Amino acid sequence: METKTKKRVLVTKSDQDAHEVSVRYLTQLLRDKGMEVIFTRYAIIDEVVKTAMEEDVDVIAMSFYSSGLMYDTTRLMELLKEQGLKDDIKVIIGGTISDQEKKELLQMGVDDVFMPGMGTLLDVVECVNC
Amino acid sequence: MKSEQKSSADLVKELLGGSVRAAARLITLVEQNDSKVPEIMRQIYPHSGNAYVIGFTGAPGAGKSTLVGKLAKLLDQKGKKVAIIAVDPSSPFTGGALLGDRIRMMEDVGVKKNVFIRSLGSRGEMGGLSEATYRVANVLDAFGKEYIFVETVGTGQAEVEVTKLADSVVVVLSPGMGDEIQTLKAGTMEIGDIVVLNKADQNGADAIASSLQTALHWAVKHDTWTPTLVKTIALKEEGIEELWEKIELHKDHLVNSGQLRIRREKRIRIEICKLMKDKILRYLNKFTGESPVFEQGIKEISIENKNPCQQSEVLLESFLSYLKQGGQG
Amino acid sequence: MFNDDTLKKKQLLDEQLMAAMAAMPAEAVPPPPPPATNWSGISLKHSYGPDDIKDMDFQDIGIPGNYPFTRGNYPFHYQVEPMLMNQGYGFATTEETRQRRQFLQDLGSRSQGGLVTAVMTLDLPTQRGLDPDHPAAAGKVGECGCSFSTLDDFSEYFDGLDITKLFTALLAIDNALPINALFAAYILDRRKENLADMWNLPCNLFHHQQFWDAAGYPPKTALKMSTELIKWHIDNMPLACPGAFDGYNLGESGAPPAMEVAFALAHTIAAVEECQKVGLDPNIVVAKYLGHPHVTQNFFEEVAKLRATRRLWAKTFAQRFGCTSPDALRHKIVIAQTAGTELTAQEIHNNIIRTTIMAMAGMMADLEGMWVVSYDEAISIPTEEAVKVCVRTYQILQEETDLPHVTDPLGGSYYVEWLTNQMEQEIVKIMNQMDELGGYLKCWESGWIRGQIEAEAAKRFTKIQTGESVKVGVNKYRVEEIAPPAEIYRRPIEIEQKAIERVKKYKENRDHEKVKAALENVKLAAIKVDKEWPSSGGVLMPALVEAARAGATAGEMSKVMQENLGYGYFSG
Repeated sequence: METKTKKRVLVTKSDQDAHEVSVRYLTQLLRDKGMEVIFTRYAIIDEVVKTAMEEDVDVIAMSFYSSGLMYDTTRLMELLKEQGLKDDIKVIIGGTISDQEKKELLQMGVDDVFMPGMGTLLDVVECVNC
Repeated sequence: MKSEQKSSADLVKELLGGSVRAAARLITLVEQNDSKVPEIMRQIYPHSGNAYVIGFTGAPGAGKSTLVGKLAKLLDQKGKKVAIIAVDPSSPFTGGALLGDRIRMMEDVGVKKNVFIRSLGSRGEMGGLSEATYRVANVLDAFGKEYIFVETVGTGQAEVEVTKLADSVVVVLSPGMGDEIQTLKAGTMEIGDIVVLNKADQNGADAIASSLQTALHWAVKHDTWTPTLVKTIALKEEGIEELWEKIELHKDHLVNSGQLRIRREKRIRIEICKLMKDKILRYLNKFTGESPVFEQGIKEISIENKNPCQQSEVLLESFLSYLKQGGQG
Repeated sequence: MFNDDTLKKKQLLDEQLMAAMAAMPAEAVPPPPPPATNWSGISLKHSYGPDDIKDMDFQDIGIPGNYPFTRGNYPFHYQVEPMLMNQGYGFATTEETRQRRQFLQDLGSRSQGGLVTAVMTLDLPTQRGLDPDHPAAAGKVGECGCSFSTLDDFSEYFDGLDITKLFTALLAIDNALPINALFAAYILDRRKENLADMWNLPCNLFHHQQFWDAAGYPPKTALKMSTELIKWHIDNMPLACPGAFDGYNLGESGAPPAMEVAFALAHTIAAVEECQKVGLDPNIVVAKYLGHPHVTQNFFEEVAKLRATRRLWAKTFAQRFGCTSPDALRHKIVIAQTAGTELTAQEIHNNIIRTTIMAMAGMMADLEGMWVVSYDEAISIPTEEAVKVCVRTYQILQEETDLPHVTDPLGGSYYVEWLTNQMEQEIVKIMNQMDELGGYLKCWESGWIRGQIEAEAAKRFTKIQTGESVKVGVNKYRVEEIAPPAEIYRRPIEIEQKAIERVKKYKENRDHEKVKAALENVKLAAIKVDKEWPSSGGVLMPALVEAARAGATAGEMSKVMQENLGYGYFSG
């Protein structure tokens, strides 16, 4: 019996950042869409890559409110490349991000960036799901 | 998104070479009941049979995940190779799941550790154990993990399910989880080879510990092993070493008494039945979906008004010969 | 409350209205509008009259300055003492932070008795107890706040300032004990001043796991930490206010107003009981608590909530703890903060209107002080331009309008008094529910509280997504996609490297043996706090102060504490 393949999504945020109301709500929305959501927090970004690899996820969605955006994303993309995961995993970044930063993020290979005032969480769900 | 379309043979080769990524990929394949499963299982089987499987179960909130994380940390420090399978419930409506147990273990088995963690959704299987957990454990076994911890959602049936899979079963309780007498009545403890009273620094822990001791004394014993009680405070890493000693004692007991072989035979029996059932079902679906014989049989009922009961017997005969011919005719 | 004549007249008017409506042809009578429900779940009528509060005891309303302080803590208030401006700030560098403090001071920002506030946000690694050179701090040092881990960091910020004139609050969260120990060491050894002369607001937010799913310490340990902080400050720094009645963070995480107060009050009760265990007098402890509520744009609900909070506070501590000191029974709401989550990135200047309504609610509830959040907080760390608007908000309300002329101007309003009662009852209802579930601590440990808040947050999000709750310019009247911010404040990247070098140098140039011995004492004290509580109450904080004086860093102290008192866990 073939079982329908379920999309697996890693939703994660820095362990230090307390702003997590919306990211937790996002996990609920994704689950309600029938996805398997692995929600974690990380102290160092290397944990995200280890988790993504072990959990064999299709998407990594990361949220930033206050700090670490450029540092962590740069490191994430480096590590994904290093592990040969870059082409297999879609990376979505959301949070308080400026236009300039968005350009840089896309340049380093991030697949999509969600910024303040841009659409709703439902758009994020749509993006994860496609 | 998945660009890699490696053959299962390549993946197994990489798995045996120690690739975490190949292990994770194979787990996805066997867990999602991919059509490659029989092939994969055939290839990894010769390399499995070495891991010792420990099941952890108990009511939500008892601190299972934290305890499992701490135990994995301890074993990792001892140089053992550990994998954790964390099973969380899937939504019965959407099939989606929020797999959050990992978060409780990350701190202990962080990035530098060799502990492999994998979260599974229960996918609605009775008892909460994903039907593919067996196979996932086999993959991790072939991957070279010496100890595999299976942590399950503690809701009734799951606790029984876990005993079918595990060599040792650890039941985790904590004080203040409501009416402890109910727990005893429910027989949760009877499946435990080791019973852990976690959060042992909470109010009323001593009273519960002594009532548990009494209950264990009178519990129905399946072999000569007497289930033991261990008190832990997982958050403070207290009692973890003692828990490990007890698990090892139980392991020695199983090996020496020959019980390990018996337990594993049970497991093999279940897995074989499952594989057979899957295969039969696969053929049956094919038969009902594409065989002209089956279509003809249906028409005879609807047009010629044949008795469906009799007709099903006739079709079953056709199916059996179809099955013998390997899905032809 | 009212004589029969009044109530009869009211009844008559109602009857006349009903009769007039009944006499009209059915199709001419408009259908009655559906009743509104406020965020706390209280259903509202279309209007209120004397009959809605007729059973009230006038004592429960009273006059401003009298028990149970429904109408405010003072007979005269804004007429003589403007609302305090207790704004937080904190940047990458102490240099920038000092500049910002000076900027605020030049604009006329002031706190009590002419003190200057130094509410400082510390960066996230510091809040978690990590020194800048810890691997997990990488990429986050100096962002969203200052990095503080050594006496040198204190010197850089405080040297040259008259610290007896500062109202200092270092937002250190899980790191509160080590950071306040360093502050004490700095005052004693580098400034040679008396601890007794210092105004300090140590960050006692150990309940934060109720709304953030990760915390430095488990709940029971968190209560001990709170006790250590309170006891040490009472013994050594009597001007300090080491208790925090924090509803703000609960509200920001999704708790509606009544729930916010219920959880915050339940926590305070548990914390005061913990202090009693170590022999502290509740009269003294309770007086050390300052209020930090959440204030949204729901004007009347917030006014009623704040009035109800003050009344419930007075009653709870008088009746349950036998407090008699007026200082304890007056709940001083010194840092009410305008709701950050209600600000929008879209049409960002609308936030000025939102925060003004919130600040007005604070004034109408007669609060001591507020932290008006800047309009740009929805997208970034506040700019100078935006914080200027905040300071001007207080000043305009206080000096251009007639708001400060009369204390508690809404007192006696049928609606406001009725709603104050209802909010009080709703708060008590939630607290009783926790008692039925086995008590506050159990509700906290099991994650029940976390679950309640999360469910409410999800409800609120869903309402905004579906448009049931209007956010002007976001889900209604939206004219265009807003351009995302072109720039967001980010600290210069070299700050991090400098901070790492500084802490490394600090660690090199100290008496290693002395530090080792002092940290060993911290370890022993932590073990005592863990194993011999409450008889060991009060041993940890002095050991930390000595370690700080010996040269230990905040990260080193935090590490020893966590190793011996247990790490926090995830309740979500």
